[in-house]
Amino acid sequence: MTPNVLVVEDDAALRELLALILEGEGLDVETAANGKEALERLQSRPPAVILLDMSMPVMDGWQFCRELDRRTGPRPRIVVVTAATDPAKRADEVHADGWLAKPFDRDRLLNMVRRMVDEPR
Amino acid sequence: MGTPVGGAVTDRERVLLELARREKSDVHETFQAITEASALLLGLARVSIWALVDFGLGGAGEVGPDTRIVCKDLYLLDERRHVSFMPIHGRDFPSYLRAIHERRTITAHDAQTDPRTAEFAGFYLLPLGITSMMDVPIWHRGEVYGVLCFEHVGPARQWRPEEEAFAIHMTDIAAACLEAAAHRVASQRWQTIIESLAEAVFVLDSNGTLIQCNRTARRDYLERWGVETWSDLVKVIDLVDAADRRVPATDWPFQRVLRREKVQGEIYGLVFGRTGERQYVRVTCSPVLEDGQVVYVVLVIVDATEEMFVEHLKRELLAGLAHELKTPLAIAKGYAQQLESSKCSPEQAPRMLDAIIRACDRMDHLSETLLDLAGIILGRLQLTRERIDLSELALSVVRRVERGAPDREFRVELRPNIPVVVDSTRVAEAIRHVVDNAVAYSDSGTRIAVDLSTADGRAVISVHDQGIGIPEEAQPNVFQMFSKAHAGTTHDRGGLGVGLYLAREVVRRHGGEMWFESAEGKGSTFHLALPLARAT
Repeated sequence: MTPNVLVVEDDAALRELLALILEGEGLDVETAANGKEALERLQSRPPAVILLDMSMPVMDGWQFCRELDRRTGPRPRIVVVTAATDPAKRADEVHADGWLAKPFDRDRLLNMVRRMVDEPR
Repeated sequence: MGTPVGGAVTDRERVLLELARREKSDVHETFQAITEASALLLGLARVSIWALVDFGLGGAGEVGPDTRIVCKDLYLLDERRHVSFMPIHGRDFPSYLRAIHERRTITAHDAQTDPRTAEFAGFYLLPLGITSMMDVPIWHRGEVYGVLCFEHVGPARQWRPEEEAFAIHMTDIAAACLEAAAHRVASQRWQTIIESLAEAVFVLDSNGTLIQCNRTARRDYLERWGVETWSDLVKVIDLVDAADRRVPATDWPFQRVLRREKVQGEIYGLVFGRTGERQYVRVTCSPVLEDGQVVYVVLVIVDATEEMFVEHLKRELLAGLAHELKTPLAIAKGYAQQLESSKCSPEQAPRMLDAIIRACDRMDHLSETLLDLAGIILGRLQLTRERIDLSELALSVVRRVERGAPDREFRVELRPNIPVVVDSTRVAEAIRHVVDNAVAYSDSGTRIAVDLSTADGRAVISVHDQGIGIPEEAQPNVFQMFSKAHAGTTHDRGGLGVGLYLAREVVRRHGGEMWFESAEGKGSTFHLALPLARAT
């Protein structure tokens, strides 16, 4: 089965871009506009990696991670995608596995996702 | 005139007592009381008080060439009335002034021959028939203020020691009156300064009872919050520190000063309990000590709302900016790198370029917003007006927003040829803020309607959405800077929170107005009205 990546980002253009880049690398990508939508996507198929924006309407990144931790089963790898000045701190706050600062570098994005997909927890 | 005998109170003693007790608030009245009482009690034809006034450069109390002897009051016993007398030149009476300056009482039984008073004989004593004089200097703050003059008409009079004592008592009363007046002037000067301060000044005693406060304090605090006393004021407000933490009553500046702590220029927020209205102030609190004990506390309060607003502006704006700028930047950079990677097919390129253009457009809009904000806050917004068709301008704005929100159903009804004379960039930004909001606060698939009507010489653009609406309690603040009706809720759509504030400021500077209707859960309609251009 193709490894699955879930992109959670409220900005439509950025969401599309992330999907486009990852699909170009042969990854199976699903998208969600906020944490609530992301939780719904998890029901159908748990992803290997989640690219997570932190500031989102309806349900933000922090709330989403809290909800995620309540669930049983393995926790997907999480990469925080943030405009914050201290992305590492954001990542720590939600026990993420990595972070990308906006504007991120395409190669760094691909390397990070690829590594996480290749090295399951 | 009897001499004091045993315990009996003489007339003179009674009068002295009365004079000493009276309110010495008015110098003129007190002087009149002194001259009149002296004349009546001692049977003197003329009793007067004179002041030495130096019009030259000599220091006070010195007898310079320009010293004048000015009559402050003269009581005439025969006529039972107070009159005045013309000023006389000090230089014509050197012996007299020297004697006065030696602090000596002049008791001249034969005034016309006495070396100290003979100078007055020709022009004054002889014509008025004055035979005996007793002149006592009046002292004020270490210097001779003037002189109390007893003048006797008729057979020469031998001044008795108790009469001299009486005269000296009278000058003491005059001196006390001058001192009280000087003190009153000084305190009035302070009072005037304190009253006119832009800072609020409260003086409390150590129990927290309000002793005194100035006009600013009354107007900006007591009257504003509808209270009369300090203790009432304390009941209706809560104190928070600069970080918005509630300050317990025991740590209020007043209490801390009682504990002899220093309170110098600290920032506090005053929160009015009933309405939640908030004001920031800078507080300085100082003790007034007496024998090492705090007897009064002086509180000086300066409004710092604007100062805090600027702080807030910096914080909110800097944090928001990073986020607002980095998202379109990430989009532009990402698509550009994707195009460069040759991972995309030629047919994908136009869409990617379009995404890059839209991202650049967002950054452009953001920079315009910042420039407008700076212009308005610093009062330097310059409008470059030109005659344009408002419908065309509105359409181009709507189309730009529509491109970035293809999932909304835009319904645009713009009557063509609506001439306005406006700064098209500024007005386009204003419309953009409103249309952007319609998108941000509505869901995918809903309709956004934009129409343009004219009435009463105005063009009105109305933007209607089917979004989440604005809660009633948030409606009064919609146009305030950084007011986001849904901040911190799941409906928070990010943004700087300055869009509607800027839009209204720009519209108002064009002589227009903005308003809205909104129902929570149903949607909002925002209207921008601008004056139509006069026909050419």
